[in-house]
Amino acid sequence: MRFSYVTLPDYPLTESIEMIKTADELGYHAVYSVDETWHKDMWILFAAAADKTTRIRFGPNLTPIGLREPTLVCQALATLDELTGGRTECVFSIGNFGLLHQYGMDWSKMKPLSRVKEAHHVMRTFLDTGAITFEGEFYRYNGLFTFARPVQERVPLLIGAMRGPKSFQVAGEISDGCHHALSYSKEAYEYMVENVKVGAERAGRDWRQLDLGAWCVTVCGPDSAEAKRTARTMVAFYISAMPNEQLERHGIDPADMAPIVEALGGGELDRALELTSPEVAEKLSIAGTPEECAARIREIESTGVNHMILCITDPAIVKTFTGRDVSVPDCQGQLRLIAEQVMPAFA
Amino acid sequence: MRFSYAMLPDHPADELIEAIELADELGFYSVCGADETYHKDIWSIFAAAARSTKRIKLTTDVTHVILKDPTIVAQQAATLDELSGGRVEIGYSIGNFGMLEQYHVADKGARSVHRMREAHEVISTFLRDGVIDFEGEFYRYSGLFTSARPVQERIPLKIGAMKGPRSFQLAGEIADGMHQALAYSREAMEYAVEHIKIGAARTDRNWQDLDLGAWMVASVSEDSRAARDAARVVAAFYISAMPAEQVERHGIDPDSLRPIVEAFTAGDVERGVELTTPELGDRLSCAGTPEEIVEKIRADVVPSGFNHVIFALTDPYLVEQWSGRRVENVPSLAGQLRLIHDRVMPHFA
Repeated sequence: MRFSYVTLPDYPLTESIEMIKTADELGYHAVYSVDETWHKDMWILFAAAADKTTRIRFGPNLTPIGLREPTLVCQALATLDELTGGRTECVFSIGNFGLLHQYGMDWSKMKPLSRVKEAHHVMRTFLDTGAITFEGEFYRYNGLFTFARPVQERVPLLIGAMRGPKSFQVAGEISDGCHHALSYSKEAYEYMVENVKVGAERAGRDWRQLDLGAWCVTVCGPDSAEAKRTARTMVAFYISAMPNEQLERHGIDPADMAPIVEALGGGELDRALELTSPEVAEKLSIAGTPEECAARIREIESTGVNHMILCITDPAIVKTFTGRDVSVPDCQGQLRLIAEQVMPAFA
Repeated sequence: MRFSYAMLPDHPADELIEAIELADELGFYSVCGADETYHKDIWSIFAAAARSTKRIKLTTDVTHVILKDPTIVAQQAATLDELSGGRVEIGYSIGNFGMLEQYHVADKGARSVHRMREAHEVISTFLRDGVIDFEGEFYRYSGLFTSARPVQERIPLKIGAMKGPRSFQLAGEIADGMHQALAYSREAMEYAVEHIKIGAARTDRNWQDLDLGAWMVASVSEDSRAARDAARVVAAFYISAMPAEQVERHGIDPDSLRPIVEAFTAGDVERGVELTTPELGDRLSCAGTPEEIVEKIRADVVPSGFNHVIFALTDPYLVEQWSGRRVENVPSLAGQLRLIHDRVMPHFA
């Protein structure tokens, strides 16, 4: 099992850089970040952190090709690959539906799956050869080239997916892996792995060679109740991003979640948090003591997932999003706790 | 007169970062980086150099707003502004025409000035407020917000323009400055200033307060011929990016350049460079000994009203990367920065 972490680039940049240094020292596989307009620019953060680290890998998780031109993503990736001496990878999808909506884009009319497949071809080509001539349905290039060349022979390209099943299958068929965000149940990951296998078989590939990641909102602390309370304050924000089918794979009736999404949409933060029951919060996060976190990860591991991507939620993030105070360890404290008391159980 | 240098970020990243650090020490106003797919990502290079420099401004010269959404430009600029302690400036345009053609972007001509105006509003609003609701012809946002906030009260926002006249007027009207690429003649610069004045008058602004930058392919060496020959190679590549009107402002018949453009389009770099005569090279670059460069700035730039010289430095590495040619007697980036600092800048202090 690989362990990586996701940082939301909302901290002062110097603090974010310190966190990345800590994760590097503790042996995390990768630091990922969301490439969304809502936050600071993760490429700039990573470029600034690159030479302060030696082992940890870097990448967007994920970057939205509905909003960002795929060749420009490659240009940034290749430059970061040079700055890190070959330590980048890229998880992409069409993008966060809520974000696209704010740009006046309706994802359902954007043929997301075909677009992701085409973007994969474009990015693979541009990264591998530094040039592209292509006539696609969504992307067209004539003799485009770049001096931005990666150091790695092959920068891994992974697909981020949530609803499935076709997106999971496509990931298994063409990409270097599938990262599935915001699922926590055995059922959800079994469903993902099963469909990744379908895709991999279609292309005659071994699914076990793929990077199968679970992107999870995580709070790890010595005080179980406080960790769970912390997670609960943040879960509401993520519910609106989950497709109905995915909620159902957690034994949650999407209709029950509608009032939460509505309250959040109307800016009623307190009400949204109140409506998020402790049971739902527990189902939609990994929160608790290191032992409790390990037990949840164990369950996810049993499905074939081989990479945990922990979106660590700390007091600063909770404060930024909700204005509330919680007393769990800060990001670096949690990174340490996980490295010392969770990761060894999976070594 | 301000002095900056422009990088075509194709060198090894370490070398680019060291050059920025040196320019910072030497007191250059800004490092200007071309944000085009052809090169390494300028934002990442700037980010890597931000914390090891103190004074130098980090300017995108230029970034582009068709392939890249203006809110993302603002997000990047704000993040870099935090990292650099408030040293970011944005130069933007719709993008290099040749590059847009390679993306099959159709609407690059007709409405580009309107798009530039709209992008200006989007970028300045998003930088100022951190949120935006906007219904424009080219851009639409509802409730978009960001945690990326600049340190500077106001990040300078400058327009890159070449053909004019409406783009020059727009810059005079709304922007903090105008950078004109590939203009070397006094005529071309005077033409731009004339229209910047028209635009500035529309909004009752003093055009002399604006940052008017001449972005020039440049090379400096003790060996005049070597520098001019190096610059000629890179200038040849840029001929296809020049609008016909801009070519004419250099006393050159655009038709006479057609074979050069055709050679580059066909991928025949050797022939394109060959066809670019030394005389053309001299007209379409700013190269030579430090003394020759001083003379050129005195003769063409100063009288026009431009107040900022931006040297797009051509060194042996760049020439070889682009054309396979080897040049001798031309210093590296660092060497040229020193020559400019020691023997050009003092004349305009």
